[in-house]
Amino acid sequence: MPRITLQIDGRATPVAPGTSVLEAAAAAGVRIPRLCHVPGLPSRAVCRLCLVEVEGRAGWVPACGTPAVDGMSVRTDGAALVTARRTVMELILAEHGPCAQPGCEVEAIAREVGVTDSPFVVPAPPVPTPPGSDFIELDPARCVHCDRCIRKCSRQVITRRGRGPEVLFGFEDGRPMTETSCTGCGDCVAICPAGTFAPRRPSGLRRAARRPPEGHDP
Amino acid sequence: MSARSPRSWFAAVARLAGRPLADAPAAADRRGRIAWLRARLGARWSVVLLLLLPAVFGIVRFGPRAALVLGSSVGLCVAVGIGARHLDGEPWRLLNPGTLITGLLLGLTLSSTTPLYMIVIGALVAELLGKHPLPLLGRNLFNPAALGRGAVALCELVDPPARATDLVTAPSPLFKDGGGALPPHLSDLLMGFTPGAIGETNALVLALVAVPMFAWVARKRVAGLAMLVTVPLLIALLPATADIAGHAPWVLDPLVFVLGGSTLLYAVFFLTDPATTPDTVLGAVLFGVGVGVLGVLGRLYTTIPGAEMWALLIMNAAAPALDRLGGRRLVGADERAEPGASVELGAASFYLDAGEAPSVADTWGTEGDGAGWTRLAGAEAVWSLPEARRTPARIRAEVEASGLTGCGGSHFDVARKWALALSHPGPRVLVVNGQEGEPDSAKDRVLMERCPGAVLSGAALAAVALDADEVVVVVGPTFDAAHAALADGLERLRAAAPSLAARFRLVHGPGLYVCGEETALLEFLEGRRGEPQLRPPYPAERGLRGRPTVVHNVETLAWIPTIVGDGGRAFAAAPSKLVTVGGEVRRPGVLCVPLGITIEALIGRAGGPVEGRAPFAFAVGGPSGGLLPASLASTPLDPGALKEAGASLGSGSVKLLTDTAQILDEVGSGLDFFAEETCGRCTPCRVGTGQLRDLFDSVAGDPTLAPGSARELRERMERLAVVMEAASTCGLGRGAPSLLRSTERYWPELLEGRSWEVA
Repeated sequence: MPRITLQIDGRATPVAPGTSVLEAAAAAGVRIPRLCHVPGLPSRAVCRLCLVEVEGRAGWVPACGTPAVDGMSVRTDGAALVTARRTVMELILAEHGPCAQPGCEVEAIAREVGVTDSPFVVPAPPVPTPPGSDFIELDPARCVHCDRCIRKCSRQVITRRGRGPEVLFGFEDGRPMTETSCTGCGDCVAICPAGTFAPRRPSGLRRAARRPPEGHDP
Repeated sequence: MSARSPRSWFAAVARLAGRPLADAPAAADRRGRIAWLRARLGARWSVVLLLLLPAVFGIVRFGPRAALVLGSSVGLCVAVGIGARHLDGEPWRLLNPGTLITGLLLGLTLSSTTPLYMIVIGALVAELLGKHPLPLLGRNLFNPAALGRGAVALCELVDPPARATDLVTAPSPLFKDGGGALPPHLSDLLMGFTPGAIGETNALVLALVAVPMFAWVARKRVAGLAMLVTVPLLIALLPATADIAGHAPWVLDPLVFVLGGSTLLYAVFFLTDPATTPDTVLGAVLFGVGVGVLGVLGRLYTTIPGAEMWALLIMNAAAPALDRLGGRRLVGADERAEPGASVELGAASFYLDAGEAPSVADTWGTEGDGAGWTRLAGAEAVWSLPEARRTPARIRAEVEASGLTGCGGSHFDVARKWALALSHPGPRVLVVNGQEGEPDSAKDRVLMERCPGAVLSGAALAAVALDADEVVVVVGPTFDAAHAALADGLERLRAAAPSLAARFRLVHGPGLYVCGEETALLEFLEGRRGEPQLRPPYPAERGLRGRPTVVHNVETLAWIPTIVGDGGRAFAAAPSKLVTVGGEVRRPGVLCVPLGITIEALIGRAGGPVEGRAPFAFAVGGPSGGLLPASLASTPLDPGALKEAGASLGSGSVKLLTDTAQILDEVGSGLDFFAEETCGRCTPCRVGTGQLRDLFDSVAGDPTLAPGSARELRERMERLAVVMEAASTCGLGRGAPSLLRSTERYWPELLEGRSWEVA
């Protein structure tokens, strides 16, 4: 197979054609933070956390959605870039809101980027919460719009709806989840990093699970 | 006549697909014609046509019993398929290519002596179990025809077929008792005079069918080719002393094995199935190798009949796992997800409401700019020019000489856009964007209402130049007058230019700002939510339904008849532009002015400022343009000069502002516009637009804000604006901070709390 070579932070990295810059960086031993990118799902580059600088291209580009090109020169660690990545993470964290869930993936990523709280305040979308199903509970206020569920759903029932402040995930034609061809497989729950899709548990258990850990200041 | 026969089969197939031959590329362009035919027929109908060849041969070879088996297999699959769809409450049609493929494939893998009840079981299993999407996967895991064949094989275990020694019912020559004591002749293998299943004996027909299948029809061909390489290699490598259960010694001749068994049929038709084979290159190679190895080993070392079929089913089950190995995706990998195919164009309403019609007054043409409008109004005269001036090459040359750039706001060079699309093989699509999502602009709507002929003639000339066979004209949701004018214009165009090959369609679009972005508009036209997409691929490469697509603003196209008529150089010497003038001017409206006119002169043409007001600033280019102070009134209206001054021509709107409050209003409503219009796809734009508006409101609107807090808010605003400009997906997010940038540049005091009021 032909190989192409690109520079990742000045290091020559040979990769196969068709590799994304994100994968190429991983091959060079550089981990670029990412949220929406999940191996096995097509890249949509919506979270814009994996921004990198490509020589000769204006602005910053998402590493997950940029194919590696022979001779390309990529910087992943510029000072302005790191600030931009933090700003994006602050926006995502503001959207996610205060979260007391243990093992929350969004907060783990925020720690990786070096962000613990956000100066921005984002209100929850002013639209009614779509009802869940017998198995799945929905918490739209936590949604960070990473599109993972949209891409993962094997029945393709999840889409984004609305625009502006009303942007929120929804189901086919705005119907409730239970009136779509959703089979309750739970893929959306498994892939959601924000706890927006959660397994429905008996109420007592759920409340216990939601209670912040001891000594945590909410 | 030898030249006639290819034309007539071509015509016959085209007629079968219900397509007028007039749309087809010229006969000399053979590759173009094949691509055209495949695109018109669709992949699945093409497979049905190819499957008919081995089916016909099988009937000739095995007689009426084979016809009965094939007929009942297809008929039963169609009946079961319709029944299943009816019970699911889904619409059905009699001739569904997917069902026909399953029925034909199932029949071709059966022996001509298979009893009817087994075919019934096979069809039920294939259509009901095989086509039902599995809950976790969202699609069927197993190839339906192979699954049906598997059911028949299980039946055969219980009720074994009588093995006779005649040529019709005997097992394939690979069995010891199949073809006598001598190895079969090569010519018999090629021509199919060997025993076996209906569709797998004639190697020559299968090889003939394999060529178009792999060359043009199948998108996923890696697995099939891998199997075709693996099988003979493996046979050649196996030791001759192997224990060959129930098989003749000549089985270890690679040629006999490939031609005499079912390898070809499986490689050509089963391993090219888009639904049940892997999506990655690595996965597909492993898949093909796996079917080949398991098939050969199963056939040689076990007595299980139909080893290739079981091998295929095993690998089908492994396909999702193979995809997890990662690597490059196959070209045809996206074909299975084609939900948009059944969605009516423009029917999907993913957005909650449609855009509103622009509120700009509807005046057009004032003294002094009549010439431009006259040229646009008389654009249809281009069709009375001699034919030689409207050839594709001539149109392209004139447009290149004219230096025409996109009038929707991008100012991208039209000739370059065309060259990009022309570098990819057709048929191409031209999308004409007349939605006008810009809040301050009305020039597109007025143009479509007053001069539909210019837009349509320009589109037709562009379609000729681009060799596009489809033109989609998209107008805003509330532009009823424009829609009607264009519909009339289409009638006139058809009369004026009867030889046009392109098919025109006129549809209402969502009219949203974000759907002015090319990829978002194409998403909408394909029945999905209109959101900008990652590039590459660019629309010029893979646009509407995968075809090279050029998207133009209506005004861009409207100038092309003038360019073709007067010559490209004449236009380059004196380019014209439609401009929407609004704000505090006496006669707001859409003017046609020479490009490069000063802002001052433009305001003069619109009657100057209203009584008692003096120019204070100009808002140029809408909410993603810029604000210029009155001192820059002599700036020429030209993309380069405006950019230098910190504005942009955008879609060509100029608004006269007369005091500070109007500037704050303009910035505030611009930021509000983006916060309301963001599609929410990417973080900087989805969250950033709202935050930027809130920050601006706090800084510019709070009289009690301390200078220190103002500074802090401005720092945050700056950090946000940088990210939005550099990292948003499309122009909406990238352009959102631009009015703020103008304010910083020319009126920085407005962003320091409300101290400006005191001063």
